[in-house]
Amino acid sequence: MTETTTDTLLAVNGLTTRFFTEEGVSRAVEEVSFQIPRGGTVALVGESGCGKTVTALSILRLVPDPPGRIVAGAVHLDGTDLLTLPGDAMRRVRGNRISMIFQEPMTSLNPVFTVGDQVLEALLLHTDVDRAEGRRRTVDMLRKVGIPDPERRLDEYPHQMSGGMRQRVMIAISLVCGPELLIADEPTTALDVTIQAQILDLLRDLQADLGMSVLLITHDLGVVAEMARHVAVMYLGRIVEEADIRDLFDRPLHPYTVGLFRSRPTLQHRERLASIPGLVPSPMAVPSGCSFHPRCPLSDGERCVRERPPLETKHAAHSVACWHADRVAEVRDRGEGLYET
Amino acid sequence: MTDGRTTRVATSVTPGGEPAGPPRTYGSIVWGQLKKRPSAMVSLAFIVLLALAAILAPFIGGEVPIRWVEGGEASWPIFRCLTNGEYVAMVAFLLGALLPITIRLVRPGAEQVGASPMLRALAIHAAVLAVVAGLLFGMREPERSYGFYLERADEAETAWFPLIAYPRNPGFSELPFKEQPPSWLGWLAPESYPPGSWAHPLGTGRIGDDVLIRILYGARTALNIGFVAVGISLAIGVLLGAISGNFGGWVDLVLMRVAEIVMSIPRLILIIIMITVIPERWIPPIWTVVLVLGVTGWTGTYRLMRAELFRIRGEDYMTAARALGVRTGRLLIRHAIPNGLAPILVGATFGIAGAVFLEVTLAFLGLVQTPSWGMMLNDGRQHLEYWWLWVTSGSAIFLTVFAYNLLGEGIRDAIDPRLRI
Repeated sequence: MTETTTDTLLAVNGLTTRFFTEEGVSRAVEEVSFQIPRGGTVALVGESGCGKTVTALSILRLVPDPPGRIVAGAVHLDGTDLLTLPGDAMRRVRGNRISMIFQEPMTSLNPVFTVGDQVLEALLLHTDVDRAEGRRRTVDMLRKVGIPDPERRLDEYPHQMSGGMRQRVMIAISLVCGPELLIADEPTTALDVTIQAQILDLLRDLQADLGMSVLLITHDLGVVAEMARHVAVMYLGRIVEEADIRDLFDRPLHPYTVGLFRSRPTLQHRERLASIPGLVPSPMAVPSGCSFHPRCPLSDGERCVRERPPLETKHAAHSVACWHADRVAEVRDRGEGLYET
Repeated sequence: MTDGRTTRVATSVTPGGEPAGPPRTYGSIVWGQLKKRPSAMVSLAFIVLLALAAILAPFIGGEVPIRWVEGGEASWPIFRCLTNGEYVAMVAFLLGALLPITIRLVRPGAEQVGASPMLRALAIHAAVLAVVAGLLFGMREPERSYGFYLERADEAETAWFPLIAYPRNPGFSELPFKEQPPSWLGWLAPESYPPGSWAHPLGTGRIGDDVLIRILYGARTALNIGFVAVGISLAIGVLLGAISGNFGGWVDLVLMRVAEIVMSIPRLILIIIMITVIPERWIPPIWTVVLVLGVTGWTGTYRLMRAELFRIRGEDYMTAARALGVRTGRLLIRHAIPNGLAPILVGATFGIAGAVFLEVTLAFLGLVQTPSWGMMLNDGRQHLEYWWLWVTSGSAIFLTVFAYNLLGEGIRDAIDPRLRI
C-alpha cells in the first residue's frame, strides 16, 4: 500500500458537532481537523464515546438532527465543502464518492431484502445501469469481496449468512460504486479474530486495487498498526495527538496515548496491564483546561486545569496537545512507566 | 422483533453456517408457522369459502338460468345478467388463486435480474385485473330484464337453474311461501314441502324471500365493508404512522393529536349523522359507512406503525441506507415500512372483524338498506318463533367474526418468535 500521490482528498477543518439534549449540550466533536491523502489511510483512535463515530457521521452529514448539529467547521472533499452542499448534491456524494461500513454486520443489512438487492440498490442509486447489467456487476463485486458462489448467494437474505460474510456484503455495497473515500467504522470489532484478519486483508487489497482512501475508525491499536499510515488519537471529542504510525508507536507524546498503549497486552512484557485511572468524563461536562487532566499522571493542577493546550507540531508530522509532552518523552527515555501497574 | 431475527438465524442456518435450502423470505417463514396452526387454517378456509360463495351467489341461488334452450335455440342468460362488478370480483378471486402459479412462472426471469418474483406476479395480476375491469366497465352493459324465466320454465326444452331456483327479490307470487322453516325439515311444515326437500335449505323470510340467498348477498356486504374499510384505514395509518415515527418532533406531535381527536369520535354516531346528512343519490349509505369506517379507523394502525418506526429508525440498516444516499421517501417506503408490517397485518385482521360487526350493527338498527345479516337479525328479532331467521344470520355473523379473530390470532402467534412451533 504505497501512496502514489500525496495530494489531499479530504480535509476536515475545525469540525465541531454538538448534541443539544434536554440534559444539556453534549460536545461530541470539538474543533477536529485532519487530512486524508488520496489513496492513503488515516486512523482515528480512541475509547468508546470519544467522538470517532460522530466525526465520521458528520463528514457524511448523517448526524441525527435533532438533537445533533454540526455547529462549526468545514469538510472539503476535493475542494468542495460538503457541509454547505445542497441536500441533493450531498446525497450524490453518499455511497458514491464517500461510503461507509459499520461496526455491526448483523444489523446494518436490511433483513427484508436479499443481499443482491442491497448491493444492486447502491448501483441503481448512483449509476445509470439497467437491472441486468447491475445484476452482473453485483455478482462481480460479491466475488471481489470473497463471497463464494455469488450467483447463488445473491438471492440469500442477510440472516442466512455468517457475520464475516455479512461484513463482506457491507463492503461490497459500499464499494460497488467505486468511492474515493471509504469510512470504515470499527469494521472488525464485531467479528472473530480470524475473520478480522481476513476482512482487514480484504480491505487492504481492495484499497490497493481501487486506489481509494480509507478513514479507519477503531479502538484496536493492532488494527491500526496493520492498516494505517497516519493516526489521530481522540479524547473527549478532540484530537490530542496526531502522527505517522511508526512515530506514534515508538514515541507517543501524549500521556493519554501512552496510557492507551500500556493498556494493551503484549507478549514481550508479560506483566500486569496498566490502566488509565478514572473514567472518561461525560461529554456533557468536559473538564476545564486540558480535558484529560483529571486522569493524567502528569497534571500539574494549575496550567493543565486552567488552559487548554493547543495541538502543536513537535517535529515532522507529529502534533500533540499537551503542556508536558516533553516530560512524557523524558520519562520514556529514562525507561520508566508513566502509569502504575 | 430483534428476537425474531436472531431466532430465524438459529432456525434456518445449520450449525456449519451454511444456508439450509432455498432462500426463505420472512413471508414464507410466517406462512410455514401459520400452516401448523389448525384453528388459523380452518378460519382461513372458511373465509375463502365464504368469499367464493358470496362471489358465486347468482349461481347458487336466483331466478336467472345458467343455460336456457327454447325453440332449439340455446343461450346462457346468467352471463348476460351478471353485473360488471360481479365479473371483476370473479376475475380477482381467480387471479388470487392463480398467484402461486404465476410466481413460479416468473421466478426464473425475475431472478435473472434480481427482482422479487412475488412483486412481479402481483404487478402482472394487478395489470390483468385493471384491463379486465376497464374493458368490462367501458364496453359491457349488463342485461337488466330477468325475462321471467322461472314462470316460463315449462316452455324451455332445457333450463339449468341455480341450485335454489328462486327469485332474489321476491314479489307477490312468493308471499304465500313466507316464513317457512328450512325445507329439509319438511315434517315441520308438511303443507309446504314434501319431507327432505331442498327448495329452501335455510327457510324463507318475512316476504317469502329465501334465507340462504339473503345470507349469501349479506356476505357480500360484510366482506366488502371489511376489506374496503380496513384497506382505507391501513393505507392512512401506515403512511401517517411512518411519517410520524420517522420525523418525530412537531410532525409527530401534530399527527398524534389528530389521531387522539379521531379516536375520541364516537364512530357509530358519526356514521348515523353522515348517513342522514349525505343525500343517498350522492353516496349510497353503504359507501358512507365504508368511508367513515376507513377514515376514522386508522388510529390503531397509526400507533402501531409509529411505534415500529421509532424502533426501525434507530436500526443500523437505516443509517447504512442513508449513508448510501437513499432519499427520505424511498427510505421510508422501501426500507422502513416493510420491516414494520408484520404487527399491522394482525391489526388488520382484527380490524376486518370489527368493521363487519359495525356494519351489522348499523343494519340491525335499520340505518342501511343493503342486504345485510344485521337486517336479517332484526327481522328475526321481531318474530322469535321463526328461529331460522335469527339463528342463520346470527351464526353467519358469529362464524365470520370468529374466523377473522382466530386468523388474526394465528398470524400474531406465527410472527411471534417466542411461540414458534
